[in-house]
Amino acid sequence: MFGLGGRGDAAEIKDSGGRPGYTEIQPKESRTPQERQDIRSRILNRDVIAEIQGPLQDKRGGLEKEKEVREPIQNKQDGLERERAVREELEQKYPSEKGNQIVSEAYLRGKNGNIIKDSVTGEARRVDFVVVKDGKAVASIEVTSKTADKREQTAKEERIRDAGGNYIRDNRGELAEIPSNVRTQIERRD
Amino acid sequence: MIKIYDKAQWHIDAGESAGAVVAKLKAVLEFLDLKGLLDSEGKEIMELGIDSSVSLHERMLTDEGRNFMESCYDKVINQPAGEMAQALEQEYRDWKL
Repeated sequence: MFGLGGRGDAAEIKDSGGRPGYTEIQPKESRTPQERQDIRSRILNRDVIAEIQGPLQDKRGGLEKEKEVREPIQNKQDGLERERAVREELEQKYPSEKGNQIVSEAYLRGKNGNIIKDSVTGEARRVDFVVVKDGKAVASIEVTSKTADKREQTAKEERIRDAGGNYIRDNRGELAEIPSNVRTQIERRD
Repeated sequence: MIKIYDKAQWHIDAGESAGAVVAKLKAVLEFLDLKGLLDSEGKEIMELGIDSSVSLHERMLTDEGRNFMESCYDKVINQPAGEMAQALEQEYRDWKL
C-alpha cells in the first residue's frame, strides 16, 4: 500500500524491504511518464475521496448526505395515488360481486376485538388493505414506495401476529380472522 | 374507497423523521378531539395512543369532522407540529363563519 504524502505527484517512499503489502517506489527522476501517471491515478487524495463518497461531509456544518426535501402535501398525494392504483387492482382481482370486501386502514386486533400492541415498540399495526371473504381474510396488502424500508414494520407485524393479533374489523364492524397462512404482501409503486 | 386525510407512513416512508410526523398527527387528533369531531373509531385511537401506525380517515370522524377535514386539512398539512394546532384553530374559526 502506498503511503500518503504531498510531494507533488510522488507518494512518500517506503522501503518495502520485501514485506508483503508494500510496494517499492523508485525515486521520482527515474520514473517513466507512464509510471508517473500510474502513481497519480492510484494516490488517494481528498478530491478522489470526495468524488467517491459524494457530498457526505459539509466542511462548514457537517451536514449529512443531501436528500430531497419534499413537502408533506406531496407525500400525501403520492401515497394516495399509490393506494388508488393498488385498490383498483384489488377490486379487479377480488370483485365485490363474489362476496369480497376490501377493508382499508385495518388495525390488527385480538380475538376480543381489542387492538393489539407490539411488545417491543409499544405500537399498533394498521394494514392498508385487507380483503375479506366469508368472515376470513384472504389477502393483506401494504402499499409503499419503491425505496421505503419496511423491515421494522414487517417485524412488528410478525410479533403482533404471534401475540394473537390475527383479527381485523371488516366493513360491517364484524371481526374477521386472518388465517396464519395469510401474510401481508408489500406492494411497491412509484 | 374511504377518504384518508393523512397517514404517518406516507411521510415516514418518504424519509421524514418518525418522531416529527407522529407529533404532528397527534396535534391534529388532539385538536379534533377537543372540538368534538372524533367518532368512536377516532376516540379508540386516541385512547390507544398515537404512534407511527396512525392514519386520519373518515371513519374516525363525525360528519362535521369530515366536512372540516375535507375543506381545510390540505391548507395546513405542511405546518410543523408546533404550529399545527394554531393553524387548525384559525382554519376552524374561518370555516365556522
